[in-house]
Amino acid sequence: MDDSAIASIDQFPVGCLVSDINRQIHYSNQYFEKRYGYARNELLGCDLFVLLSKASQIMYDSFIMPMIVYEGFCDEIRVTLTTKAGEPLPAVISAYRDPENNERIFWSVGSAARSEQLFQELTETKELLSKKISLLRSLSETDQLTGLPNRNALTQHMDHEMAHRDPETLAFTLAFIDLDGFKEVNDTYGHDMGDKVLRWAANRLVKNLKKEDVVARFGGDEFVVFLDTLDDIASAKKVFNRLINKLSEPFEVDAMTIQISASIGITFYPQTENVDTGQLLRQADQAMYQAKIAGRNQLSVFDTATEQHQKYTLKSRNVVQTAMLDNQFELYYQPKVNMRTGAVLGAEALLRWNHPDEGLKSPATFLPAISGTSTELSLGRWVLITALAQLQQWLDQGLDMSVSINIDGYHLQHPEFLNDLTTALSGFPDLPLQRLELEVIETSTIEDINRVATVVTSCRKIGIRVSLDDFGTGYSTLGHLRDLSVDVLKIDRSFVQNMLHSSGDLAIIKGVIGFASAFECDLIAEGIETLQHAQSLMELGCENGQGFYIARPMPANMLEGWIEDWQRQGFHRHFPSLKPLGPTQK
Amino acid sequence: MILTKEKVIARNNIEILGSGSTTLLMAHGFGCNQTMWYRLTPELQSRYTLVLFDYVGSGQSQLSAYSEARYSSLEGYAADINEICTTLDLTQVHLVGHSVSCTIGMLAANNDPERFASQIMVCPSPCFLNLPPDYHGGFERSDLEELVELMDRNHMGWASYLAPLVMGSTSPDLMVGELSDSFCSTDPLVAKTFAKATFFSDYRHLLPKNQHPTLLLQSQVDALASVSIGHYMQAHIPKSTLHVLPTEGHCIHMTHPELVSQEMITWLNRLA
Repeated sequence: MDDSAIASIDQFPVGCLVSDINRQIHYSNQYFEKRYGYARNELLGCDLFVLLSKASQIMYDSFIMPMIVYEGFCDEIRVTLTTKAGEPLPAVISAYRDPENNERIFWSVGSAARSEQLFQELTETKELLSKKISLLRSLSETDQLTGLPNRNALTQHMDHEMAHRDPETLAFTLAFIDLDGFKEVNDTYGHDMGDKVLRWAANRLVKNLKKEDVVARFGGDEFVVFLDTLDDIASAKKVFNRLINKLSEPFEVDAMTIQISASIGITFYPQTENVDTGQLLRQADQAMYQAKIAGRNQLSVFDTATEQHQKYTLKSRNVVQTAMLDNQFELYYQPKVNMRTGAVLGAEALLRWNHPDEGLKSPATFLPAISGTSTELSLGRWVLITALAQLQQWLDQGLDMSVSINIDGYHLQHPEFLNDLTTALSGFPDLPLQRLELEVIETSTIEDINRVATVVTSCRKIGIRVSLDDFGTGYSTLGHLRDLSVDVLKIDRSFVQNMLHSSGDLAIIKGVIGFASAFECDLIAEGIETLQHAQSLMELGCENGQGFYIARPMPANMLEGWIEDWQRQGFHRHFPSLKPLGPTQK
Repeated sequence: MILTKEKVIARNNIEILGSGSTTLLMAHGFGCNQTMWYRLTPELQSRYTLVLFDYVGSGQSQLSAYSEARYSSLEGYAADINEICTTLDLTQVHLVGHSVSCTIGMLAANNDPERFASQIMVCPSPCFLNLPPDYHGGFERSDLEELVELMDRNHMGWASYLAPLVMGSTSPDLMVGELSDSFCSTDPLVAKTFAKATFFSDYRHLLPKNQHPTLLLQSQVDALASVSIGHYMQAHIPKSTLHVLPTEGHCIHMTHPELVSQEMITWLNRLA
């Protein structure tokens, strides 16, 4: 290089340096004189490490040198160079290795002052951000009024405990606490006083629990306690009963004496089934609600058995609702006849489920699970409308029929029952209502006998017949008979089945027959399974019957054929000594 | 997780070169990856079976297998070596390590001595810290703290610098994707963790426990591992041989490959 070229390179505002693979410096421009205080040519022959801080030397050996050897160059590495006076200066260096020129390495060195400033600012930003984040975390996890952990912090704590603690040893009690009558405090004394009461309650809870327990404000006047240990249920109950006592002690706020109380629901972990934080909180909340219902100021323990049942019911309801949408339900009809004359009196509509996997299912297999639910009501309405439509169809075909429908006690007592019935009937304005019979199942829980009596009377007023089904099996049979004026008594199958060898059952049947006569009711016996049953009942004075001996329940479209066969030869075959009369004769 | 041969090969990006009856396991040092051996391999693979690998987190290893806890001490890197030897069923292994990998190699050999035949240490140092009055590792603690800071400055950026703060340091999202193909490109977290494990540790206590024949190749001028460190190691490792080479720098296997490979061949011939 000639002098003018060297002079030009000296003018560059960057450091230009040439070294060999052994770090020996062969050239450096004037930049090093200006910036680093080395006199011209002072660096020639020196080790490159003269310029590098100790840390930068490690960077050189660990990153820069291998990269230069392997890739032939490296770009923009941030290092620290030292001036001749020993002052460290931030620098950014790039290098290129020329394999042709005796493996010379050409370096450019620039100031990294701006980059360093940026880094410092970034570091400050990081610290600021770090502070802000921890403040935000604390705000998002703390209830501002009481200073307690909030709902978010509590659920996080529980999730963490359940995820990270040894499942073999983790056991805790979760309590949901709701202050009784807090709304009255707010309404009477104002929200400021309400806030003070909440702070007092929070403080009292914390003071009466151990450090490792967590007390959180869940919202409003609700607190949740995570009791870190569970030695036994009795001691957990003791802890919370003590809290109830502590919370019900009178206290002074602004020279006023206030007394509140609390309802507490508790649940325990672990349980036989896997439960998560949300489920546990719901359980404790439900238990707290039970404590409220039971009269407040007390403790209630969550009952997992009840929950299991509720889950089962919910699942069953969903399944039944789906089956209704899929038209899987069907009404079967079981004929009722006069066993002496052979007259067909009508048919009882019976619900069947054509289950796609389990085949034909009777109501006993699915009704109990949905008992007392809106699903049961929906299914009841469907039965009503379907049976009415079928009756209308038979009448339209010229078949002289009556149909009876079973009404569940829950539906019967429901405020909407009469409305449901009227709506259903409005679809069949020409239907003679005396052809419809409602069978009230006597064993159903009839809680409101007055309401049922009103409903029964209303039905009978418009011509609908009402029968008491399964008569004799309910515990308040006689009372029902007195309070409900019905058209028909149905003798329960259990008495009929045993009447041939049980004098007790026989006596009951005789009694029922007597009642029917006394109350001027018609009478019919269920469960006729043999000719002997039929004959015995007829001898006692009960001529009407239904049962497998006469006919099993059948799909609607088979009934007409059965009636024809019954009148032609079926009755003779079953009751050989008697002759049938026409179907209209009763 | 059960480690299979296939899993370890993928995890540590294992490359096997040559087919000689003598096996050399070559462990790269801090900062780079197995390609740092590229100037030695042509000469060596004609004579020996060479097993090259990247520590988890380095080179083309599987970043998904990285655990900050495991690799925050040299024992974690040694476990990589032991697992490679076990799953590949390597025996009579001559362990070639550069710089910190010489210490990692001692840990691995100490864990499973039966598998190893000898150790070849290129520019080793059992401790980079000056611990007066007896030991001069070359660096003050403040130098090494500056190193970590310099690494931060070289990795300056939102993702590596601020993300852990915002996302939490345990977020797996920080370890996404694979590293670029560029030589010495390392994930900032991995690099810093390796740096701390390497430069702030003191494994001098391992030296007397090392029972394998050991060749110490020390560079005459080396800021990271001075000749005095070579002498110290020779004095404390029972079956050790020290050769101080007329070289300058710490990466002599890259800058002086012929010299280093000749030393290795001579050593292996002598042991055979």
